[in-house]
Amino acid sequence: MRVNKNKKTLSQNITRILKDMGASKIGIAPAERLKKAPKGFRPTDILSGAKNVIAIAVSQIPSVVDNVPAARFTFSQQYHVITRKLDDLAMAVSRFLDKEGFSTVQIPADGFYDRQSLRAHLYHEEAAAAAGLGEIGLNNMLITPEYGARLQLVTIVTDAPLEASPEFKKGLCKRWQKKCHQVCAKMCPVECISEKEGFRKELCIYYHNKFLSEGLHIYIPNVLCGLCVKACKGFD
Amino acid sequence: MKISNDGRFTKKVFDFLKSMDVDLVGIAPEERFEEAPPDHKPKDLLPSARCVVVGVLRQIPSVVDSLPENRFSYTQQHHVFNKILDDIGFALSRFLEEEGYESIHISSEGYYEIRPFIAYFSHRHAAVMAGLGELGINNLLVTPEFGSRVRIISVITDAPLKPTPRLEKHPCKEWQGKCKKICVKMCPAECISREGKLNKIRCRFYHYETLGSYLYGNYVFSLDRANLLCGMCVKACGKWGDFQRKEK
Repeated sequence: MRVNKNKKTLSQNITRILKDMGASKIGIAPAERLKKAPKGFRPTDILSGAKNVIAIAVSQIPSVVDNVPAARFTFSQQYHVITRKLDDLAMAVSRFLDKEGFSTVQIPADGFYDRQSLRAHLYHEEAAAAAGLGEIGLNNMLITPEYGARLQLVTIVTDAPLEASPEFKKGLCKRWQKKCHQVCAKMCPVECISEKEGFRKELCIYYHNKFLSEGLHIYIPNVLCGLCVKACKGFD
Repeated sequence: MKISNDGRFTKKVFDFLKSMDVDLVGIAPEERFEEAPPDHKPKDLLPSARCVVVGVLRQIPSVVDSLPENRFSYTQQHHVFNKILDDIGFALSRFLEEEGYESIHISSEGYYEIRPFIAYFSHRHAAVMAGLGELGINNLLVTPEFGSRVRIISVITDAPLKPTPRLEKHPCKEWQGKCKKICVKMCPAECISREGKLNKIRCRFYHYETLGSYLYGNYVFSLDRANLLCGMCVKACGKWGDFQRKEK
């Protein structure tokens, strides 16, 4: 069933499908760029023979994010709607690649994480950074020149030969910090963010479960904080 | 009632579904549903029913193959497929209504009666009646093309469409020499008997008890606030042989 397809046409077709369906940013990373991830969390652990990782981003509505926490329910609803949209996008690409004769596994946009490492089995942020969409900022989110941190991500692992996107030139967060003075660290209600200690995920998760969604959802919250997203709107 | 040329309009319906990326299309005339339980026949849902249009979509094989490791992807795929199927059913219903026919699309998933343990209209049986496959030992639709790795959508309508013939050979029976009824062995809850009887309550119970919490192995999860799905009997039944559909 393996079809020899032109790398370029295949990549262009994927980009066209995604743009038509409303993706904001698309990038492709060869699987080797993610080989530094811990064992069990690499693309090849998910799909043996994985060659490429496709990262897709959909941007959030800025005015909703700007009005968090007042608009927190809208922000949460927006988050869940975009999550479902990302799943749809990932499935569309997967079905396309499957019809072309390639193996493909789409990773759900949200919804699960490992209890010990507190990461999903493929980390969307790392995949997106490797695919040249942006870099992981101080707030542990993907930050991009166009949208700041106001994006949501999804990833597809495939063995299809695709054209790699250029890597992102690091230093965006450092450069912005001259203007924003690490406003995300100041805005975080539970002080998860600091340059010295890195990002403390367990605190962030605890805050969501204990203060925002207690009794609603035990582990993965319905209501979201979003203040570090608000903080990073892009400072160019 | 509008009288139209059967063949031409049937082709239009087929083309419409193909344009929506449906992999297999079949049409089951209402008469083939005589053995369905009472209240579950096409005429019970649409009194003027003449046939059922059935569409089959293929699942992503590499995701199914990598079960149980990629169970999150499988579950997400299942839910996205539900939405895709509902969209197709709804679009076809609208298309048929615009052409002047009555039609009812059956929701892709979401409910079943507790007693008997069946949905109000069975997509699987409709697909069998439309000649797209046969029910296998695993109680799922087994298609010659994709095994059980499919999802189904059906639309009941009074449009006079040309029926597609039922399969002459039974793919599950054809393949049993090779697969040795592997689905029976692969079911983690031992719900499937070698004769092909499915203990549905046990299957449901396994989903609630083992996959229904917020914890799965080392993972914490909540996908669309739904259970994780097992999928092992779907994995068991890929394409086992060269069984080909007879082109008419």
